[in-house]
Amino acid sequence: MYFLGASLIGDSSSYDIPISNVSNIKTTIVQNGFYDIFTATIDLLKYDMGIEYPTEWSNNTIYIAEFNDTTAAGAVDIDIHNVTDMLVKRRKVSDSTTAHNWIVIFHQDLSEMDEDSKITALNTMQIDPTNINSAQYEYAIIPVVNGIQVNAVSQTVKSEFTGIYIMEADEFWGTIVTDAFINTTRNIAKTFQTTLNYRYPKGISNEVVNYDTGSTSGEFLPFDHNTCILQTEDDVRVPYQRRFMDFLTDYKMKILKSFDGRIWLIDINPSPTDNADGMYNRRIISFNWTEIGSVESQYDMYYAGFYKVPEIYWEG
Amino acid sequence: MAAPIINYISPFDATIGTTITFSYTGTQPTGIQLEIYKSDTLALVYRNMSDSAFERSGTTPINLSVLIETNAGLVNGSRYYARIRVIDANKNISSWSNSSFFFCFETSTLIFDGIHDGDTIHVQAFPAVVKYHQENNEAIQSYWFNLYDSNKVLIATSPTYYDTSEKDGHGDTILRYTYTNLIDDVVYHFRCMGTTIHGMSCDSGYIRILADYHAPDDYSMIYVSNDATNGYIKYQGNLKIIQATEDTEFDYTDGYIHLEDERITYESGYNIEDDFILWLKGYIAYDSKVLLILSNLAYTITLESVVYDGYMRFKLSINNGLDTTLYYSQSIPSFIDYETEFIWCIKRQNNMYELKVYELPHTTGTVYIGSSAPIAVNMPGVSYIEDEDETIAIRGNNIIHDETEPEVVVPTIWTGGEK
Repeated sequence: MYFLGASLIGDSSSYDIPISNVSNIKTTIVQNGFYDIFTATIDLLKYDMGIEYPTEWSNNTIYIAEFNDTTAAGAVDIDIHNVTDMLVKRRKVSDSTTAHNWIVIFHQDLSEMDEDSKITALNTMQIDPTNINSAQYEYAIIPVVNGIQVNAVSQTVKSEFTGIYIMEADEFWGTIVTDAFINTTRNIAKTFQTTLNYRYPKGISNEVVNYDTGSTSGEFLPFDHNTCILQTEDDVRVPYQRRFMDFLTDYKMKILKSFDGRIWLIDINPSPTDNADGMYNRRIISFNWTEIGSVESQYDMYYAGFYKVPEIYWEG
Repeated sequence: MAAPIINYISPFDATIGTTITFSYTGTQPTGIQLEIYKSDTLALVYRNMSDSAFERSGTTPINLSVLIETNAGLVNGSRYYARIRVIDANKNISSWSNSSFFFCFETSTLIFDGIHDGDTIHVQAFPAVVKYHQENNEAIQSYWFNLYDSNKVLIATSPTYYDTSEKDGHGDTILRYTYTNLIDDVVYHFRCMGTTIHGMSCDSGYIRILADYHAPDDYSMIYVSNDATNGYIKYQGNLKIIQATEDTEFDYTDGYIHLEDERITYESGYNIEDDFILWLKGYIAYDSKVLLILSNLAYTITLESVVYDGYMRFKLSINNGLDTTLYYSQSIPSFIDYETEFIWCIKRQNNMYELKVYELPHTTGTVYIGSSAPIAVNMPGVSYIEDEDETIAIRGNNIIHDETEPEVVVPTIWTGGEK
C-alpha cells in the first residue's frame, strides 16, 4: 500500500502486533552460564542501558544477586532460614541521660515459621506508644541467628504530637489539649520527728519511694480529623465516652502523656467520674491515677504488659 | 413608619438555613414578618411571623436578624427573594422592605486530591491539587491557598486566583497551587478557600501534613515514622529477602556462580509490575541456550543465545499468550566458550522493549581467576593465571577492565515475527 509515495503496511513485518506486555513478573530463572551479577531496577531516570548498573540497594531496586557464595538477591545479606528471632530496640537520643539506654521494645519468635511467614512477620508494622513530644528517638531492628544478634540497622525519628493520650499496648485514647488537664502530686515517704532538746523537728525517711499521683480530666470527645470538629452529637458522643470509661476501668496498666513532654506509666485509681459541666451534654470525665513505673525501664514496661520481650533479651 | 432594609443575602444551603440581617428605624419592634417567594413563579413558599420582644439597641437605625429555618421549603438550585416588615410596640406595621434576591445552593466541596489528613509528604515543594465540586453547577469564581503551622496559625496566603478553566472527567474544577519552602520534619496545615460566582464561600478545612523529605530513596531495613495524629511512633521492618528456591549447593569462583547446566529460580520477595532495566553479566558457551526467563506464570520474557547460519545472535522474546514479539541482536563473531564476557541489558519502558549486549574487553583473554587451577570448573579453553596484578585488573568493579569503553557490539536491530 502506497500513500504519497510512502509504503504503508507494505513490509513483511510492518503489520505485526508490535508489543507484547508481560506485567507482574514474579518468577525469574537464570541459567546456562557463568555469571557475575544479576540486577534490576525500576529507576529509569537514574539508569540507562549502559554498563553502569546498580550495586547498592535502594527503594527502587528489584533485586541484586552478586553471587558471592550465595544466590541471595535481596537487600539483606542473611539467610532467612537461620533467623530464629527478631528484636526491635529503641533509645531516646535527645536526652543525654538516656542516650545509651537501649530498651528492647519488640520481640518476634520466628523459629517455627516458614520463609514467607518470617518475612511477613519481620515487615509487619508495630506501634510504640512510649514516645514523648519533641524528642528524638532511634529505633533499631536486629535479626537473631541462632541466639546471636546480627546486622543491627537503625533509623531516627522525631516524635511530635499535640494533645493528651492514654495508651495501653494495643488501645489508644486521646483528647485535644484545650479540653484536658493533668495535675500531679509527688509522693515521698517522710515524717518529721520532734525531739526533746531541740527547737526544730527532723525529717526522717527510710524508704526510696518517690512517685507521682495525679488527676486528669477532660471531655474526651471523638474528633473528626477531616473537618477538625469535635463530634458532640449524642449518638456519637455517648457510646464513645462509655467505651472510654470501659477502657479506664479495664484494670490494665496505662501510659499517660501530655504534649508538654510529661509521661507516666500509671494505674487508674477507683473510680473515674463522668459529670456534667453546665449543660447535660458537656461531660467532664475525671480520673485519678498512681504512677507505677517508668517507661524507660525494661522491667517496668514488661510487667506493665507493654514490651512482651523474653528476659534473656532485656537490656541493662 | 419606615420600611426595613434587608442586607445582601449570600447564597446558602437550604438544608442548613441562614440568617437574614436587616436594619430598621422606628420605635421598639415586637414582631417581624418574613415572606419568601420563588423568583421565577412568584409563588409564596415561606412565611414566618416572629412576635417575641426585641431588645432596642439604643441607636437608630437598629440592626436585626431573622432566621430562615431548614424546614422553610426552599430547594437548592433555585432563586428566591425575601421581604420583611416590622411590627412595633404600638401595633403599627411597617411597609414591606425591598425584595432581596438570593440563591440556594448545596454546600460546595473543596477536596485536596491525593493527600489526606495526617499524611507525610517527602518533598520541599508540594504541588497541591484541589477539586471543587458543587452539585448545582454553581461555578467557583476565585480561590486561594493558606499555609498554617501545627497550631493552625496562619503562615502564608497565596494570591487570589481566578483561573477555573481546568476540569476533570467528572466536571469538577481543578485548582492548583504549589506550597514551597516546607521545612523538613515540620507539621503544617494546608487549607484551600474560595468564593463562588454568586458569593457563596467554600472551604476545604485543615489538612494536617508532615513534611519529611530526608533521602526518600535510601533503603533502610527499618522504617520509623511519627504519627502525630495518634500520638505514637510507627515502626516497620523492611527486610527485602529474595532467595533462590533451589536447595542445590552451587559452585562459586570469585563472585561468579556456575550455572552451565543448572538454573536458579527466584519466586518470592519481589514483583516487577511495570517498567524496569535488568542487567545480567557473565560468560556463556557458543551455543543455543536459554539464559534468562522472566515470567508472570502465564506469559514470559526470554533471553536466548541462538546459533544459526553459522552465526550467533541474542534473541529477546516477549510472549503474552496471543503473540510473540522478538528482538534479535546482530550476529556476533565466533568466540571460545566462556572466554568473552557479556553484559546483557534489557529495558522495558511504556511497554516498549530494548535489548543491548556489551562485550567486555579484558586484558588476559581468560575468565577464570583464583588461587588454584580450575580443574573442577567446566570451562573449556581457559587458562590459569597466577599474576596478582592481572587478578586485580580483572576483578576491579566488574565493569570495565581497561582504559577503553567496552564496545557495543550488538544493539537491537530487528524486531518482528519469528525468523
